[in-house]
Amino acid sequence: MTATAIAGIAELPQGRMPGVTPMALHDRLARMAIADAGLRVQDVDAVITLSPRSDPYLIHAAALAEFMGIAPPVALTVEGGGAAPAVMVDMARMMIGGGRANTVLIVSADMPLSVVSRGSYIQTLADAGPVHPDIERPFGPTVPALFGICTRAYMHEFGATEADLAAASLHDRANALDHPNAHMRKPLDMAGYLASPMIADPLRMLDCTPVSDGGAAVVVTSLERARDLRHKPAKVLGAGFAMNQLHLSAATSLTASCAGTASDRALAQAGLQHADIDIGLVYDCFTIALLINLEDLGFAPKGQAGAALRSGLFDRAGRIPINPHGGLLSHGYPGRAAGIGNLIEAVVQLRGDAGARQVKDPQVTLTHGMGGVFATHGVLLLGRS
Amino acid sequence: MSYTKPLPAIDNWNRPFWDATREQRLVAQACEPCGTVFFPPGPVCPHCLSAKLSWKQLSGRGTVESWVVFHQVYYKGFADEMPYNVAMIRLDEGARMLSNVVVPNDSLHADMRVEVVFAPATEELSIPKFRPLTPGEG
Repeated sequence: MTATAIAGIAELPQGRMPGVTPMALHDRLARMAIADAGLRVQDVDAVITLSPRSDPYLIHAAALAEFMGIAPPVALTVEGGGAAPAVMVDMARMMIGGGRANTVLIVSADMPLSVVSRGSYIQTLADAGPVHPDIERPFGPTVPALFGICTRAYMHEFGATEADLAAASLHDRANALDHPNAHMRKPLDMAGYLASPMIADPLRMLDCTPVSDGGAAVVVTSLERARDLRHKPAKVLGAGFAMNQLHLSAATSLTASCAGTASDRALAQAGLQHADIDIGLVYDCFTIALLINLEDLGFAPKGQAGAALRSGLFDRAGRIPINPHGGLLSHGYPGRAAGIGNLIEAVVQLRGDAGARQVKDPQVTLTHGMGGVFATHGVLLLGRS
Repeated sequence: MSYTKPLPAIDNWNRPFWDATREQRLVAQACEPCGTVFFPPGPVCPHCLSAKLSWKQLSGRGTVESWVVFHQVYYKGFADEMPYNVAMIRLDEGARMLSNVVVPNDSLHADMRVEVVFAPATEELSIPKFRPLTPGEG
């Protein structure tokens, strides 16, 4: 396969973006990413977007292209839950490898906070899946309830406590303090965590992500071409995917998933070992997601992610830094675009542009995304070329 | 008084399940070749992919695997019952089922043995909830 790389990126501060339309946000991110790559909008010959909850366009990518004044041969809107960033980059890679495109623009953004409203967004999550509309919804769960059920099952199985959940929340918040684009930048300690109200006991407010306006854009091109552009390319080393059931009622386990299968597939494609990974960007829409995903991705033994977090292993100066940008829990959760921030941080870290949160000399990053309640997983490995 | 909690959209796959609740029976699809009993209703067995399925009357008994106590009102119909629990029940026949346990929230515990009870909802269906079994009941 033709070697490909991420040549341009763009991200704005996540949070509330009043006075901006979702389409204008997409346009702005797109232009920033193209400029970051040192390319022109006319160079884009494929646009991939993720259908935003805040903007009901059909064929959203074509609407964005029109808004930008371009007519690329390919305009594709995908839906892949939180696993979408890896899906979109892998699609770009296949388009470039197959000769379909040279410059693929990926824009993933949403405005659930300003355009939709926080409560209504969470209601959508309850009404439109992954809560089963017919045999789960009548009992009144929402997404926090489903993750809460996984949390209590995890606590029961492994003897984990709220201290383990807190470790995930505090870890991400500490990292987000150094990120100018992070949504949650107020220092947080254990007392602050414990003071946060119960939402779906055992999950507190601070076990859940905020709901943010935001997102990001990236430009993918061939590695050969990327070498002549503005930044040191972030080479796509491998991608891997896996899924099991979407609905929790059909789950084979409440405390483990197939994230590791996706990761193994990506490592095999890249010809790398787990020990080669220098930074993990792990999807954490809830604290329990960080704990279970860290374990299933091979960063901690089952039941021990909380202890590993507390030990400093995953700090920026630790042996395997995790979510140096603050994760979804503190960097932000931009609706359907959730997870794209993990991809941006991987590129920023590989470029060496992370400033105060720069990890020392990373060569390989693992970006993980998850859709549903531990249902779909996408893993992308990026490296210095 | 009208029922204000979310109701299922009845379709060809789940109709036998909800029809049975009207008669206070709990049923699930069972795979004829491999015996797997499963939710949600669908066209094939998730274990062996066979389409030879039949609706089976269940014992109505199971074990509480996990639960949450919900403190936020996202469904107006639950507002009067705050905080309410949502529990994952492992039915004795093997399938997992989401439901509510009719019990004070602080008495819920893992591995609690429970039995289905039917709460009236509409003329078409009732809602299968669970109550604790006392020791000796199974």
